[in-house]
Amino acid sequence: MAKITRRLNKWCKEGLIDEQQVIAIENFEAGQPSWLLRGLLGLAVTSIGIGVIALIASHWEKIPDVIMLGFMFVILAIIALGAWAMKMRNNSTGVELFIFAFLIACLAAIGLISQTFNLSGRLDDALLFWGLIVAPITVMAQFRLVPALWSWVMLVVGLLIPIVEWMDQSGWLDQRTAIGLVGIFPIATAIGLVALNKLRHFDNFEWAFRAITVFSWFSAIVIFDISLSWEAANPTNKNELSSASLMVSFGTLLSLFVFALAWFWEIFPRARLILIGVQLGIYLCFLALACLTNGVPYLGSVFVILLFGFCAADMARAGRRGAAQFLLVMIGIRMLTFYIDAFGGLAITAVGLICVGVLILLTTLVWYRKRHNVMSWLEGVPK
Amino acid sequence: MSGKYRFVAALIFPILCLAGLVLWNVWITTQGQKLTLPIRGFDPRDLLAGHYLAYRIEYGFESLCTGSRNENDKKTYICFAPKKILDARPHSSECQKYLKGVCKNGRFQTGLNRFYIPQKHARKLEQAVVNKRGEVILSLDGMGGAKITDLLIDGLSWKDWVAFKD
Repeated sequence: MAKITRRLNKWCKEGLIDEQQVIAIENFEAGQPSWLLRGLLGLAVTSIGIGVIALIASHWEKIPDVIMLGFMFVILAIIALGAWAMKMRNNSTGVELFIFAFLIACLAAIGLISQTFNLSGRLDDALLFWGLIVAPITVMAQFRLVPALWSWVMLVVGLLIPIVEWMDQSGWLDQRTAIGLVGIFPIATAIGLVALNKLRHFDNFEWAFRAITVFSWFSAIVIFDISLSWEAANPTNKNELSSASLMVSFGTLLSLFVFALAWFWEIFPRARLILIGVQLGIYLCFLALACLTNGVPYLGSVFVILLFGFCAADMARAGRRGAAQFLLVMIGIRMLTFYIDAFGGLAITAVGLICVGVLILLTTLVWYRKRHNVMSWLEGVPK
Repeated sequence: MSGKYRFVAALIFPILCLAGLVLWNVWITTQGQKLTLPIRGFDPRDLLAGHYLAYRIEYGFESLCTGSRNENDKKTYICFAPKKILDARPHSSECQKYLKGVCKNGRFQTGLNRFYIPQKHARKLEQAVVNKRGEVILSLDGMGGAKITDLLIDGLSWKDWVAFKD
């Protein structure tokens, strides 16, 4: 709020807006739900929830099982009634907090039942069961936090852990297939993202899938880059390559599938889809190189610069200047690390760093002068 | 269904599932056939449900999970009366007291490997189990599954044993 007030006052001083408009905008912003308030309330609920779980886990000897289980169901019913009461009052923040508390209480209840009946399931099994039973109420949540937490937990316990375990049991899990798995994960989550975009009624889940897709995409690129640029010479036998080849083939098939879905459902304008398709192609080549080779010096930086460059252009076209500029900074940082990697000696590095610094300075100056033209051109390209 | 009813249904659904889980476990605990078996173990902790005693049950079958039975996580049934090892679920005329498990790495795994205990008694109980004085009472559900209903130390329920020791 303080930041927007400062900006408004600055714009008012410059004569861009008048004082009445400043007051109207401030009143509007003051009426918006505060993320800080929601965050603090969420933190309080989380703290209480974890406290209840810890209490149950540590101090149950003298309480009979029937009373403990009965008390648990009373707590669940009270929280559910609270959520219902908030729903009736149209208090969206209250509903969200009670849903969040209900979710934590359900998890605590599973822990208590496990303890009472000495159930031997693993934590991820308990989380999977929890995710399934709370799925309907998660769909009813109005803000992003609950659907996002639910989606991320379910992706890990319902998809990632079973796949890793299956690969481990099959004897497939090694360094190369692990890199392949990291590379396939964002493609798999992109399928969920495209499906949710098509369904249109699950905006919060779509946000959660977009966030995890972008995060895992970035993580995968960093891991490919490290694997290609710094992997020690590591002779590969045919068995390792065959499972890694399967991972690359599966990743390619999944990519074709997700791209076809996005194309036929017209998730984005065709021009943007083509740009995304180019990024996907570069990403798959990067995945294949990281999985199947023993490290190719400097190739990682070329792929990173290419991928981030196309992505920056895509972001700029979509009107997301902040993201585009962030990616350009990332390209600059990668160029710098490339230089240090390429020329290890201290004297040469010192001269090189000065040269790179000057290069970045000049590039920035040119960018600063021409940025409006470049961004206008990118944003103005027919979509 | 209107939005409000859907909201109520979504809140009641997990409570019903948890109630079902409790009732199912109560049914097995009270109605199942009881069996007492010796155990050996150690003492880790579960982040979700607290302190527990982890152990291996001594089923009393020497050739369990050896040779071809130990291949590919093979599903195995053990019958307690009469004592025999089977590859498929036994008929009720053949065996009524049986347990289903998987042979893995030479061990018969049933998921019956933990008993929750208060943290302050963990050391004593752990020591007793390590000294081979522990047993567990199983309640068999008649379909190959089972629940642990009590932990015995020197033939006494652990609560009585702890009270006697204190």
